Amino acid sequence: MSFHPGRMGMAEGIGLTFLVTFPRIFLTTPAISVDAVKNLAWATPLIAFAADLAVFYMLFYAQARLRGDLFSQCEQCFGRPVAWLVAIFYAAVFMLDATLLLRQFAENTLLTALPYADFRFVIIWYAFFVVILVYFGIEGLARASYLMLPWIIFSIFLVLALAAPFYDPYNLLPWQGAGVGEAAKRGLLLAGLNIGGVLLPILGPQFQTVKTQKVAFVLGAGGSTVVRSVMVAGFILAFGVAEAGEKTLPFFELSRLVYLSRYIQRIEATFIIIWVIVGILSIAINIYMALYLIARPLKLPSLRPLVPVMAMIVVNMAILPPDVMTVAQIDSMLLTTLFNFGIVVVPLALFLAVLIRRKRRRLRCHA
Amino acid sequence: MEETLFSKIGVFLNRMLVFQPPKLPSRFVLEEKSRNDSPSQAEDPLKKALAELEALIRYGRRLQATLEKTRAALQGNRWDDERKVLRAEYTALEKQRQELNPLVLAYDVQTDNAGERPVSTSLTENRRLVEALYRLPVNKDLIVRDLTIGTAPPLKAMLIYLEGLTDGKIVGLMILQPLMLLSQGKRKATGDALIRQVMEELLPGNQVQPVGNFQDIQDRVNSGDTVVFLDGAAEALVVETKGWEHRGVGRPAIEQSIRGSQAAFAENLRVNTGLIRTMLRSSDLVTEMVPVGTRSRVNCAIMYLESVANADLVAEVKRRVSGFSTDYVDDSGFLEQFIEDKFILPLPQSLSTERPDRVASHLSEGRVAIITEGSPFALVVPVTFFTFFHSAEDFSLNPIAANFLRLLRVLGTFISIMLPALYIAITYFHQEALPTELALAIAGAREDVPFPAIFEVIMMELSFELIREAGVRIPGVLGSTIGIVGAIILGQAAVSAHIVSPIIVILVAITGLASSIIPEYRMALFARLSRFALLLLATFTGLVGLASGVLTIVVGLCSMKSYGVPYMAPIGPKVVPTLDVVVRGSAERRERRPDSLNTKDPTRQPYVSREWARKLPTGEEEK
Amino acid sequence: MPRLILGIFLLLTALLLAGCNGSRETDEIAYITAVGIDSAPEGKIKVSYRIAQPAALAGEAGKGGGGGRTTEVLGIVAPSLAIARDELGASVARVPNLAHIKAIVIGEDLARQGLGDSLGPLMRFREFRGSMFILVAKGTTAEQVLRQNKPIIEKLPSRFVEGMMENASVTGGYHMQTFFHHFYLRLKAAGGAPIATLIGVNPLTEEDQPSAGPTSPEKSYEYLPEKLPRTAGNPATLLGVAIFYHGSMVGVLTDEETRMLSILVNEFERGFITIEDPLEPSRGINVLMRPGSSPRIDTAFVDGRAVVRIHILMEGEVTSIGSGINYEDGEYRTLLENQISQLFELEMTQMLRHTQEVNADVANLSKYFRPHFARYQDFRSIDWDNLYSQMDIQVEVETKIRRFGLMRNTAPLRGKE
Repeated sequence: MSFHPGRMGMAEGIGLTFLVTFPRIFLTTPAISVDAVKNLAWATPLIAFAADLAVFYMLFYAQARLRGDLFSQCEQCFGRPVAWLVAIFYAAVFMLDATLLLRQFAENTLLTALPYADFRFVIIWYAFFVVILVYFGIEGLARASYLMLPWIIFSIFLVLALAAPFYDPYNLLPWQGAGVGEAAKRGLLLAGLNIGGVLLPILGPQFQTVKTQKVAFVLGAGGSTVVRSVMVAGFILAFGVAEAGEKTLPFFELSRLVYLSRYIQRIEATFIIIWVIVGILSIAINIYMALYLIARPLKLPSLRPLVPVMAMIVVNMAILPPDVMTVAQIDSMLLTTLFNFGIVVVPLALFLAVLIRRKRRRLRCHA
Repeated sequence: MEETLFSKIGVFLNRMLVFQPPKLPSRFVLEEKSRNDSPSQAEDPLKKALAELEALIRYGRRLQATLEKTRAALQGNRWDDERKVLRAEYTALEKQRQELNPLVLAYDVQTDNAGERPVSTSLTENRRLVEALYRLPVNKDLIVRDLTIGTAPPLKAMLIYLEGLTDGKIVGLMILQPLMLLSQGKRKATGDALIRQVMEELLPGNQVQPVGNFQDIQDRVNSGDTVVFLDGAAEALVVETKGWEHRGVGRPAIEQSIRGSQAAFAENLRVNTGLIRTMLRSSDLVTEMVPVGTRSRVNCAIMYLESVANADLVAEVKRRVSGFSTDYVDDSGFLEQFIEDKFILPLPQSLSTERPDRVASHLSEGRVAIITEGSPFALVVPVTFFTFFHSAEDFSLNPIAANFLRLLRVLGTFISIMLPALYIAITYFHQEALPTELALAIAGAREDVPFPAIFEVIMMELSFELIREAGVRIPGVLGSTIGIVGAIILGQAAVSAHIVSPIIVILVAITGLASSIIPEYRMALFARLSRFALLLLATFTGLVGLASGVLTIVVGLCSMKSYGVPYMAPIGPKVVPTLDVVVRGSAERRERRPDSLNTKDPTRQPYVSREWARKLPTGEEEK
Repeated sequence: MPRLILGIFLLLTALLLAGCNGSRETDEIAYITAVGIDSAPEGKIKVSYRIAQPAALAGEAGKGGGGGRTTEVLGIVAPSLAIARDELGASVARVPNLAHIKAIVIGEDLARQGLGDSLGPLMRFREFRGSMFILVAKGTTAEQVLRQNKPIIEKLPSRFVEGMMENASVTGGYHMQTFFHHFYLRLKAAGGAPIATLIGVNPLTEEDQPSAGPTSPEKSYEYLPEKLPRTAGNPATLLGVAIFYHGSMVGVLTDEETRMLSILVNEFERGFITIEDPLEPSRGINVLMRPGSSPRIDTAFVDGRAVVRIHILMEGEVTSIGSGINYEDGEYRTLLENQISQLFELEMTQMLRHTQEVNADVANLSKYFRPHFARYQDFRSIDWDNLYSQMDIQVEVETKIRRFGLMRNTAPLRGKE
């Protein structure tokens, strides 16, 4: 199969977008949000999504008036060199995302599931399965994502429901937390979380129409946002702001807490399956997108030979940071800078370009 | 772009460095568009006019031929001999002319459904209609036999019957022999009298009756009778020749069911196609024959419902079946490997079944069946993953009961694939996930066992596979007995010898049972194989390994296709689902055929299928 | 393709043999079901582990339930919990697994010295979890408690503790289900004092040493675990809770006080009281009490002082009336109801006063003040530590007798007319 992905529809779009924007719920990001925004942390994903929605609607506006995928649209508007830059930029974004996720999920595994395992072993294990999945192609990944979606959401809500006896509604008070302004600031900074959504315009025509992409983004990224928000709320409800800010892995802690009876307790192991699946799938999608963005401008006939190479690079980059805290720092730094840049600048530029072109054409018509 | 040195170097480097995949035609994907490609002929007024004119021309030709003959007889002074023949001929021509009366003709041609037409007096017209109805010459099931009845003057006739449904002996002895050999004598010229004469004097069949239109004729032919058309008669004679039930049809040995049909395919190709025809009595059920193999030419029947099955699909199946070369094909399982897509997971891409009723129900959904000469298994393509968890009797049961069974099968599949891996993952890596008492019980039971747990599991799984395979190979009744005895004794002895812990025996037994619940053998085999793979992965990294393995299988399933149809349809990709995927709805809610098959006719039944429920019961008057 | 598969297979086998995946056979693990922590000299701690013996538990049917001891207690003196875990490896040939720990028992000495330092690491290490139970050994060491916990029905002592904890709310609320999660949460959050159930070793001598006399009009005395008059059975007794202020134990609540606390935090499901007959005080009336609704707690700041109004609705079912007075009747019933309400109000107020003295907000009344703040910063600016001791708490209990058991009417005894 060449790098041409295949045909996908709304369901596939929802699956991909959800999976690519979701995995950080299993990592430290929610705890950092809680630490920053306190009791109102649950609103940050919603604010981030609202911001992204505005940007993406501009992008879709441009999409509907241009032909092809994001790359050829940039070519039409800004010329080939800029299009190349855009492609390389997004390739780097996806690659960095894959790297960070790989490192953090490997650390996560070491911390929770396989405490006695060797770190390199775990990271190579993940990379190996990621390579296999990328080989199957984006179509399979997208369909599998969609297929997994109900299970993922169900498990999250199951954990939230099982932990309910530990909830104390007073933990959500005082309701403004560190202040609405703080929440908005943090939410806007976190807008980069949904950068994965750009895979929709990048794969462009494979999703048939712009409307499909629109719905896929709203339902995929929106669904993921809602689940993340509820999850953060549950996290605060169970732990309170003071303790929640301390935790490294909120989801794991929440599932660890479950105690319903002598039989239903210590069930965190069962949910390892879910976060491993989400982790591997999202890393694979990220790597596929990075490769696609390399293959697209170079017009490579196939991207399969590049998969192991890319995986190796990603693994080596993932091993570079010396410790977990550095990784978390790099992660939030990239989220708030590079990813935000990627999610705002290109869509905005395209939108403006289309507006100007239309205005010019109208003037020409009048003249 | 202009060629410069740089661009040349660029192209050169590109050629040197970039991997060039072999140029292969793209993978076959069953597209949606072909549904609109078959415009119905009724829409086209030109075609109707054409048909009308053609009929007139044919009449003209026949008239011309008869006139020629008359002239020859007159010139050759053979008038006395030929008089009767020619008179009969002219009578027939007269009748045909009446049919060609513009009004009647226009009406006939306007009738969209050829089945509603009356029998024509012209043998040629009848033949054309039959060919249209039964998709001749593509369809190899319908036999059309031309003959001349040896009366004076001789009478042209034609008989049609379906191969596989009729008894050849009866056709020979009761129809062909009397008509062709034993029919000396004068015949009456005119239609009704002619029919009566043939029926009463010439045909010794036990049930003979005249029919006047093609609807009846199709019904009778489809149920195994033979129809005799006579030149010049506006009716045809139906002779009872049903003959399929006399053949040795066995009970299904592998796909047994509590309810539903109890017939199974045999080795004879014609019996098998006949069996399907007995279940699915439709005239546009087409049987095409494709010989495969270079040394031994084995016939391969491709069956489909012409009005339902997607034309692209049929063309693709034909292309594949006729598009490979080997010296000898001995079984449908062997044939299958030549025609299916290559894929890394050993999953069945077609449904292999020994039950004609299953084939019939799949054909009615728009699938294609491939039957190989000499193999008692039919292949049905394309299939989806979920097909393999359906059993033949699902639709014969109440929906709630059937769904219970189906969910049981799903549960069985999960257990069969994951249970040993789950056990190993939890005892090796996640001991905290068990209730304390259970964890200690497992640990306690294992205290005396001198092997690692993974060794125990693999050893017991392998012994179970041995018992299972031996049960199949050991002849006759002995097989199952040895299986049970072996399992019980082996398990008990292994536990008391402290080679395995009792919990492993329970585990392996449950897993074995669960894998037998999957109705399709090859799917069960896949489950067994993936169980070992997951077991290994779980040994390496516990639940992380299990999750990675399961995810790989799921992505593999999602990127797989069976004859152009995505394997996980209608879930991945999401298409309009029918109520027959994991759970099934009641029979009255099967309004649509599976969307992924892109059939020519997507509706199966109207939204209100139980029309009687909206009408008054008999005997009650409307107020 | 076959070469690739072979290669992958060999790689995986090599990885497995290298043992870097960290798998453990079940017979390489020592399951620890409970841990006890005591203070030791020189700032060290003494950690006691209760290790399960799987072989003794896996008795086959017919062999008399395994026989032998199911668990063993080991004690180690070490500077920290983590070191203790490793030092356990010096005497046990297996890898200790702490994931199955049901209970952490803290010796009273250590608890009074302060727990913050020794408990902190617990939340960091993955084998400990919030759903463990935390208990305080009253009047003895944690090690003694672990050793003396010899359940008569359960095979595993941990099962005994778990069963006790699960039944806490339905067997009268004399002790409480104290999760380590809640304990830790209150250590960190503003307001609310940590509590831990008391476990004591009862001498089983039937010696009656009540901690406090009956609060009139109640008939029963108040007890602590080691002083409950009882004989035979498991010496380990769970009764009452220890109350903490900033990580140090500052006092205990007796069984009756604990019951009031569990009513206040809505963990009480049902329990009996024996109350003086309002008309014939020498006789008692048994009433099965259950909460009618969750307590309504209203808070306000009046002139900078925190005011709490607690309204509790209790429902009762009379199970015996010793005097034979017809309390089923309207007027008498009100009398009885008032008697009960008065008792609960009194005991509740006493319990709250007792905790206010040590400034331990055991019922976490502080959290009900949170709605008064909009922002976390404002909320943090209040001096929560001293809020509780100055709180003005008003308790109001309303009682409704709903049922009278299987008798609809009490006929007078003969000769009592």
